[in-house]
Amino acid sequence: MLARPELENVALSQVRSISYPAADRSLIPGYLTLPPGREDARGLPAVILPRGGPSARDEWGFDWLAQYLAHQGYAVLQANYRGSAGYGDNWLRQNGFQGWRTSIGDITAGARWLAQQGIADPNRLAILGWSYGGYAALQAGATEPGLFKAIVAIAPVTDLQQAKDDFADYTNASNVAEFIGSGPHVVEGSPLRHADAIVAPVLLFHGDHDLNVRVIHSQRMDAALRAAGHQSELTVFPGLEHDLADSTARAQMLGRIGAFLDANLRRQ
Amino acid sequence: MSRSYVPEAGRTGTRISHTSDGIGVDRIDVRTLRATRVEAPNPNASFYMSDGRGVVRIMATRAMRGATGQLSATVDFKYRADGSERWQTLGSWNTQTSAGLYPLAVDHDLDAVYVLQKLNGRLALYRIKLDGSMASELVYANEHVDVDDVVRSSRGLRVIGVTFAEAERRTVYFDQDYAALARNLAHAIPNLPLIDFGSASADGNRILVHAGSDSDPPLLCLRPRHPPSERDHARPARA
Repeated sequence: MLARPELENVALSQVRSISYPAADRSLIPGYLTLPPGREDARGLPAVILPRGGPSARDEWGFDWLAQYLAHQGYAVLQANYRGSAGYGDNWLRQNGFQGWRTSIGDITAGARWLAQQGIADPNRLAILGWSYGGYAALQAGATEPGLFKAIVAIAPVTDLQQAKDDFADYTNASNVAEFIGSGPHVVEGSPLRHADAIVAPVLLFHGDHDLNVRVIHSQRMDAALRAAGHQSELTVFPGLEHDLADSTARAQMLGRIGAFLDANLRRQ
Repeated sequence: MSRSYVPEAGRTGTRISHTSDGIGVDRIDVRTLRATRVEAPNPNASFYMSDGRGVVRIMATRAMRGATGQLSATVDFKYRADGSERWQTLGSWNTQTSAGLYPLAVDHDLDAVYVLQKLNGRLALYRIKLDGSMASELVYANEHVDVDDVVRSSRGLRVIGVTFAEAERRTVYFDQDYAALARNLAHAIPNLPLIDFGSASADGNRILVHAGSDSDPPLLCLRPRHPPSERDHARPARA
């Protein structure tokens, strides 16, 4: 059965179900993907890959993003942090925006666990995410500067007030506003408002036809990081939506991510 | 097939313009593409659900927040008893809290609808009779994770099981033929444990199987449900 000739003779990684302790000792379920043929390796460079949503979950199975990163030599950790759906009310809680401290805390605890296990080199950790995952990557960079040496955010939410304003002209504006909520977390939980704290180099990608998370989120983030004197690079894909469903664009993005991680994690 | 009606705007000097608004249902003749109306458009309708035999049994409507033009977080569901035209209340669902019930599929033979509804803070699968009694029974609940869908196959998209994701995705089949087929396929292709039944031929004798794993993106193959005849052999297809 030769279903995908491009992948013939390309070793792909096995995905292992794991769990690790959060700061409050809650066990966070997740998936670990190691570079093919290097399952016993220690001190690997690693990428924390928080999924989008926030009210969704990762599942065991084929994941092209995780497989690409593992193939490039990185250990990849995907966690179903608190705020994820699928585990009932006690796990979903308020949601990953209103309960961002718990969600982001669970995600960064995964990075520490990978290092404590000896699987990852604590000095060669990166974080990469799409949509809410991109938000989480940036926010983790703001709350724990120094933990990650590189940050990649694809179509990220960067400002919670902006996310509410984006839907002002739509019939679901009130529902979106209630979901994100009001209060101090709208500023505290927005990476755009903490650009000065994000010291790791940032790589941003966004489609300019994205109606889920507007391209302005990445444009403002990129400008704020540069204004703070930090390293940031934004690629805008013309005509593409939130999922960047275009093989050429995705291949270009993966190539750039590979080079960016290589530059910031490998050569130290 | 759902049809979305959008009222015509901007036509002046004429009283001949389309004013229908909302979502309705049409029956399409696949040979002639001729459409006949099954459900008139309803401006509040979100979607409809049939019994898999061409009869619309469930209607979902979105409630508004007064006259603000804003959607509320509530979806309301109505159902029709077998043979009746009258809509009756089935229940509602809160899109933010997942409180209430959410219909997944109508089972024609059982005259019942499968719904998601919480049990001990997790979504479980219940079956509610559509005969007017609203008799409800728990079909499946998991102690650790939410149930997220039913599994359907064959003619009329019969409900054959329930699916949920623990560390790995699992399906519990109600249909014993499919349960046995899933077990046999797992033995036959041990490295592709994620088995889905995509669809089946009208006579139920040929089944589209989706098989994948962590290190192998899903493959589609056509498989005879019964021992193959001369011309009816399994062959792989591109996913």
